[in-house]
Amino acid sequence: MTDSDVDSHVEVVLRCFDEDLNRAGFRTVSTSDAPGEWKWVGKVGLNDERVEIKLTDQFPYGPPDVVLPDRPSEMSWHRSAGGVLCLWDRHSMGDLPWLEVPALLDRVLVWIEHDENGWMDDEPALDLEAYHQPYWMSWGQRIGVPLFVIDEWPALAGYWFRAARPNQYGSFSVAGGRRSAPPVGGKPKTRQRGRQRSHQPLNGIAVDLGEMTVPLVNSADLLAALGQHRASAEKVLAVGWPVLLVCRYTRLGAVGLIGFWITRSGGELKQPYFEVAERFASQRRRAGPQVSKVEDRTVSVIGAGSVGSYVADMLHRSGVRHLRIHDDDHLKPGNLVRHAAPSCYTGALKTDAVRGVAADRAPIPQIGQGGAIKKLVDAIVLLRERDLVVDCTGDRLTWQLLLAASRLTGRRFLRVAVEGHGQYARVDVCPPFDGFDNLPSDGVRGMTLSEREGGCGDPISPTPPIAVIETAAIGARTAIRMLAGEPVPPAGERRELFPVVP
Amino acid sequence: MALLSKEFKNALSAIEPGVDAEHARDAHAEVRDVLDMDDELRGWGLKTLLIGSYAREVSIRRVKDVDVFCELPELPDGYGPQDLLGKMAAVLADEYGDRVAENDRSVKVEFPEFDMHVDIVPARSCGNAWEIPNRDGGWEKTDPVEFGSLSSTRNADFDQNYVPVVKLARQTRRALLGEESKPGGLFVEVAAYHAFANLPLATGDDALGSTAEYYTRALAQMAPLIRGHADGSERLTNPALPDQELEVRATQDEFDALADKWEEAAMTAEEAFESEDDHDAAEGFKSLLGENSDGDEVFPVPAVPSEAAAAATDALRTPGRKSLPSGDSPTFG
Repeated sequence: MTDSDVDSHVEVVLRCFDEDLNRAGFRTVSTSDAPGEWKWVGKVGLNDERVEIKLTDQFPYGPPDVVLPDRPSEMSWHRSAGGVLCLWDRHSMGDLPWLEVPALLDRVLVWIEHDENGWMDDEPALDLEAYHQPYWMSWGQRIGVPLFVIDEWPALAGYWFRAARPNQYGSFSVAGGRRSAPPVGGKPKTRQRGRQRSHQPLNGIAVDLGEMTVPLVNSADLLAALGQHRASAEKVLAVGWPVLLVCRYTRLGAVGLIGFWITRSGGELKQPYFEVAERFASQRRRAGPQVSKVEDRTVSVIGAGSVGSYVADMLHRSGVRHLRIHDDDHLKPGNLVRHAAPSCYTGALKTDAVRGVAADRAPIPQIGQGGAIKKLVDAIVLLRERDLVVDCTGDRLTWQLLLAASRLTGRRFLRVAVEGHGQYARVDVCPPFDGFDNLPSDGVRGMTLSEREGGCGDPISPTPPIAVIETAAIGARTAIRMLAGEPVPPAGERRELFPVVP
Repeated sequence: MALLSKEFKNALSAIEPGVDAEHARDAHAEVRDVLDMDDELRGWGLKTLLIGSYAREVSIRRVKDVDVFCELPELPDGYGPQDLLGKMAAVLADEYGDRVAENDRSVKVEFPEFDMHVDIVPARSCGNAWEIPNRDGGWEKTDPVEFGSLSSTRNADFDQNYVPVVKLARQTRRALLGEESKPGGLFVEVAAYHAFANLPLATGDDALGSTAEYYTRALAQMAPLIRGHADGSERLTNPALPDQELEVRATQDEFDALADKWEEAAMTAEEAFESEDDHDAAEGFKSLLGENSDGDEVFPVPAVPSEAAAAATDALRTPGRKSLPSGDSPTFG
């Protein structure tokens, strides 16, 4: 499709949209080559409410801006600061519902009906930021709205705190814990007035706004929300320093967070918003439906090499809080191609590298670590202590140790390995459930390996990184399902990846 | 139904007076200043007003004349029309020399640098209206200012669609019969004025919408009015003076030719407007609007979509094709 095809496509859709709106009694008041210049006016509903419909340059793959000009100053839900109605959520927009004009106008009527009913049966949309202007910042070449990251709301709620300045990616976080109001009493020094040094931390207050019945939008409401902290906040603002107001609110039982970067200049209060994210809770919500069943289970991953690093990382992402990894090896540059850790961990213990990656994502809980399993007694202790042991070493000797320990303890373990240097992914339940036979090894073809690096180990395996990650994903999925008490294939799973092509 | 909103907007842009509007403004302001400085004219209560198609904002490219109406409420009784024209010509000749010419009903001042002239029409009061010199050396009743006022009202009554449609109608006349043909643009404008009286008001439930619809319906309403004037069955009247038949310099053949062409044009517009194919529709409207004075096609025809573009459009326009497998449960954003 050429550029002219694109223009032609958009133009035809636009003409159809224009005709449909005119059929519906709307009038075209502005046209242009660019969709963003098109505008219509018309009326809907029994009360003939005036409606303005304006396209954006995203049309037809973006919704029109629909405005009700006779109620510009009324604040309500599902309407942006510019008065544009938020008629659909992101998911619904996938159907491009605005292209069917009768449905679009019906949607406006439904919006009006809901608005007049006070959005009583509304979905709990947590979109308070839609009613405020953003706090734009620039970081290097990028301009955006900063993101304030907190670990847990209860640690801050109702207190002053200090925050570091946004970093090069626009995110910032608490610098230290709860504190009392900033010391700005008395006459401020001339040098302080009007600006704060760029390296100085910011002063913030965490306030619970409670249930939102209408969007909180104006300065007076924001200041009122400060409650007992209002006086101290006014002092901070009076010397020209910003106050970060970090708010938690609820709407129909759902919890939302938002921040306001409040400043006062010449008596005028400004309150652009910034984003706020609560790390632990938000990560747990995304850890998968089994998180509540697996988070308190104990797991050991033996081997923190290629497969083991990804297995451990995925278990940690899935919410396994009591995770331990076992390995004595160090991370070398060549490992990075097939390892979950980035190059900054080169030279570190592979266990430290995996733990570091996990800690960057979520400092709590930390992954535990242990040495390689080399003695039968160690294997037996491990199988007895842990709810699940996952062998990712690919090492036959370790496997023998664990098999023996399994026979002696009656405990089961998982073995996750790439077969034939990438030919098969293999996850063995050892021993299989219900007396099933072990998975077969059919189809693996011999490969001649000649590339070696220093030391007396095996030649370098050409196993592709993709084979490693896919195998690790099967292993992690099997582990999660076993930990959650869900059924898994009794002997495990074997999948062809990169078979040797003659 | 083919609205072709963007194409009609571009067509109107193509016939806008453009730089002529600036020239017209400068020329008439200059001439009015010259007249205002004459003591005798001032003593007769001179008040100059812009009239004509330029004043009514229905002129189209190119604007070749601007009309200035000179109200002289204190003109002494017995002052003859030819004397008055002579007086106006003399005042202007002092400033413009041989660029001034005295006509039967007006005085013309050429502005060669603008390829334009200004017509000065002197008038004495006559009750609530005015009288201007006629071709027979007498006086003739007129009220051009009222026509401007009526046009503005028409435009408001039809949600600002009257003026654009008059421009399009004037351009249609030029495209079908030639710029210098008779009857001229004023005749078409008056026919459009009367035709709009038969269209539903913008405030009504049956109001028309687009420029395409107004243009199409106006042409259809104008056709019998023009035919009636041509065959003498019902002459058009001066909108400002309903008892006064519209005086138009044209032969019977010229009237008949315009009536024939207008009936064909009305049918062409109807077919275009009702067409489901935008490209065919645009070709129809294009044939009615011809070229502007710069030689550019007035009505742009959208390109026929390629197979790929048509396929992409069909995918969007086909009900159900856009639905996601995950289901349809819209919530407000």
